[in-house]
Amino acid sequence: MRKTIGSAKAMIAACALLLAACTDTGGTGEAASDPYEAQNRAVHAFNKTMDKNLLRPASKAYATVAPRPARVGVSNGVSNLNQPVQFVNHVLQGDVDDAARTFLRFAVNTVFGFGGLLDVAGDAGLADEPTDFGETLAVWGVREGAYIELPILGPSSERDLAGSVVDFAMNPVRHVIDTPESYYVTGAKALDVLHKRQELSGIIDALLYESADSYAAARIAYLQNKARSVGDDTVTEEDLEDPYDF
Amino acid sequence: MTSEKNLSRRGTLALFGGAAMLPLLPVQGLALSSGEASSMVQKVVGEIMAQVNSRKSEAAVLAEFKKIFLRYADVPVIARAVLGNPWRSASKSQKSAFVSAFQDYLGNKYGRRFHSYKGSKVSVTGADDQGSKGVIVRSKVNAPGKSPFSVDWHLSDRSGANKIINIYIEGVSMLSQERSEVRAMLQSSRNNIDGLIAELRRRS
Repeated sequence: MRKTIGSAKAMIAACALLLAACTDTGGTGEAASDPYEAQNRAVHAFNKTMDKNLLRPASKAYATVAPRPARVGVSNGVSNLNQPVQFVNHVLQGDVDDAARTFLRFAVNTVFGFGGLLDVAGDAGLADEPTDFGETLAVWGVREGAYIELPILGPSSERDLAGSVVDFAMNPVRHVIDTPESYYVTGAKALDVLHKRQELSGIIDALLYESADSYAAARIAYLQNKARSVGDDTVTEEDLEDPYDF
Repeated sequence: MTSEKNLSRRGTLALFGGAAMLPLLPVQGLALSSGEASSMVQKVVGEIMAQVNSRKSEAAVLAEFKKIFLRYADVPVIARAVLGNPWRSASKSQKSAFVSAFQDYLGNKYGRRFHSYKGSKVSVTGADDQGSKGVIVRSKVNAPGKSPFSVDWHLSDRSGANKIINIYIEGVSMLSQERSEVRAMLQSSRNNIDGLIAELRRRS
């Protein structure tokens, strides 16, 4: 246990260094500077090939093999296991309301939803309040840094990449679950990715395969969606474009 | 304080006096209100969903969408903003050909997207007055078997009538996406506007 805490500390320190190196970029979407564009585009081409040959066919196969309630159940389970780390992040952001909802959601779904396979809380109006350490950093005033497209994992930013590492390190669930259960969790996470790819197939297919510039489309979608989820999930005045200002 | 109040009262009186001299000037509608914007979005959503849930063919529905789009959206302003700088150097006939090609392209693209949401419930959840920037109307789409997502409508009356000037799907701006798309198409047509117009036609 002591070792894990030590390694978590080391990771956080590493992230702090990474954050210090974050590039200062302004604006979201198309106006954002993209210093790694050349590398990002190469990764994007790779990701597109992976999607075309692996992820998309696998997600279709999963949807054919497993009925939707089963797929939803697996994804609910994965989402439930993510609630504790979301709870921690809501607390770190000072969002008592969402922290309480997340706590309640986890308790209700774990107890009454067969360990989280059923989203009883969601059906009762207690919706998931997704967040991560990337958002916590944003709330703390850390800049987004440059846009990065990661192999397999897809669009990210320097801030969100650092956030993902911290989330992974501090996730309480990871320290509680032992082998072989942790392998099942990994498997369920993979299935969750396939499920999400399938649920969003219309949007993702249009973005990747019908766009004139799918790299730019993915970047704009990622950055603008992130900008909105920081704060209170709404488009704010500064996000507004003015088509008359021409 | 009192003098300020008097001043504003005098100002109001002067305004009324002015209005009396110009009885044709509409008293309301000087600025777009949140209420007006919300009811317009309700109306647009109602018309769109009536088409989505109809038994017509996709082609027929797309034709109806285009009419709705032309009626409620500020198409010339959107087209101009999406093209950006090249608009200035375009000839008059190129401009009108671009606007017409762009409206078909956009109408079809978003029409097809809407069309996959048969049976969805769209609820207007609120509106924010952004002053001179217009009004944002918030809505939530609950599609059967899908996770709910947000659509925000940006309306303005700067062209003289209340019009939709942008939509944000889960915070992602249609104007930004389309500006990037049109730029890419223009680049692949070697910055030739006629080539871009042909490409838009090909894609719609």
